[in-house]
Amino acid sequence: MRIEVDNLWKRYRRKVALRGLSLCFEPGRVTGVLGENGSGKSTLFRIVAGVTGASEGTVRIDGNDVGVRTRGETAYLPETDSFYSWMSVGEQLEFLSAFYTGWDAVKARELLDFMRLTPGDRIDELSQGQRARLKIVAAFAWPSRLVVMDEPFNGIDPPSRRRILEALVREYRVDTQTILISTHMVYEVEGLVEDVVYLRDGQVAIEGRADDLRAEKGGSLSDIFEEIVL
Amino acid sequence: MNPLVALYVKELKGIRLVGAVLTVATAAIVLVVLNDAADGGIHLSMALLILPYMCPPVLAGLLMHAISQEWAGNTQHQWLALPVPRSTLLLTKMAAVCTLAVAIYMLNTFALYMIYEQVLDTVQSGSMSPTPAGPMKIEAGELWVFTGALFGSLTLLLLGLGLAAASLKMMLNRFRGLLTVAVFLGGLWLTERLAPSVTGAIQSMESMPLDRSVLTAAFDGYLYLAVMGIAFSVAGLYVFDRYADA
Repeated sequence: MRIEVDNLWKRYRRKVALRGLSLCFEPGRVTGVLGENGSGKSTLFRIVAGVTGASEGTVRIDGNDVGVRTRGETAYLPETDSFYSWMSVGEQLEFLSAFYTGWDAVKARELLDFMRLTPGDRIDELSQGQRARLKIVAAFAWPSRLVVMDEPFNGIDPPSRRRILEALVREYRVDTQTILISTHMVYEVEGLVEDVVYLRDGQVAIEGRADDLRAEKGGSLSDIFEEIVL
Repeated sequence: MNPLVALYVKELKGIRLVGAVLTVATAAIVLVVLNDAADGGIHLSMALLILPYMCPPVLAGLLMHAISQEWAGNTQHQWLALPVPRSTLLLTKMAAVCTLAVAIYMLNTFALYMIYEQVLDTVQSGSMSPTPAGPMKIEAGELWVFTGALFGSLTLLLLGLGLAAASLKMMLNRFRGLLTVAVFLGGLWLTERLAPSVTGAIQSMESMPLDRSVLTAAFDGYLYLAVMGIAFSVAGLYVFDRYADA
């Protein structure tokens, strides 16, 4: 899915999160949206996912305004746990399956096994890391056209992060899926993202193809990120 | 599963604890009253049947709690990201609360119906005097309609106010409790204020022949309350659609 962001502003009462952001995410690519805490990554993702409105400007997904239609094609993993604590893992997935076309129960089961979760587990008894894993299961159990992952590995132990991320992108990803990943831990997504957008103070600091940026700046994405931060 | 059914079932499960308490309490009242009425007499405990009919404010509070709980429980991201119109999200919550209202109404009115039929039988057999106001004109079966219209219209009005208050709270960061009180007081004041003109308009509708019996004389008032409830609900849905943010 092609996502066009044009002059996007988001103002809260005492804070401006996005300041006239304009950029384009190409379809079928994995884009890392990088930036420090408070740079506007989560706000941008919330607007793309359709859970927050913009103060000004537009986001168009394949030419459509964000709405019911685009939400039906977007798998959104918010930064925080967003599951109903009184449900079991199986109940939560069954609930979500009612809304998304092409939900694959077999794939969901495979992903649960991969993430070492069982359908009978109650969500309020899961650890933070297990909840983070469940978010990933919910996002990849159906062939969404767009996956928006906001700090998806918060709470997951570092040794597992890379294994999970690689499996998701290389094994469980549907070919045409556009994936947006936000993180402030750039080294985690270093080898997986194809495009990169660095946000700073609600604006684009740098954007481009990951390989081009590495060649141009002569360093890793982490190095470039540190340079921008400093 | 159909998305609407999935949402509705989720909302029913979400209010299951309060729902169970209200339903069990109503059932207990019904059992006590019917047990006392088994001897065919009139007992003070029968007055308890009025309590379940007074639950619409509780139901409005339950609806508001169910909405605010999405934010308190941090589930608003998942909820708002679902590919259904935002109005549907709220209407399924309202449907779940209405289901509880119907259950309470059915249970309580069943007891009232049984007792009233028993009283009518006693009056007809001559072992009890009719009411001081004259012969009893209300058929036992009409009790369902009469209490349903009264309870239903009050419930709809208060749920509409609850929906409007919960939605307006999205626009404020502070003074949310004050806003809730203001919406309820303002809404009830507005309902009272508009009553004569709207009731007059309803009465003038020739397409609705109203039977001026003891029961139906009150129906235009109930209809008015229901219309106001729907109006407040529509206002709440509009505000929620525009201002609800994860």
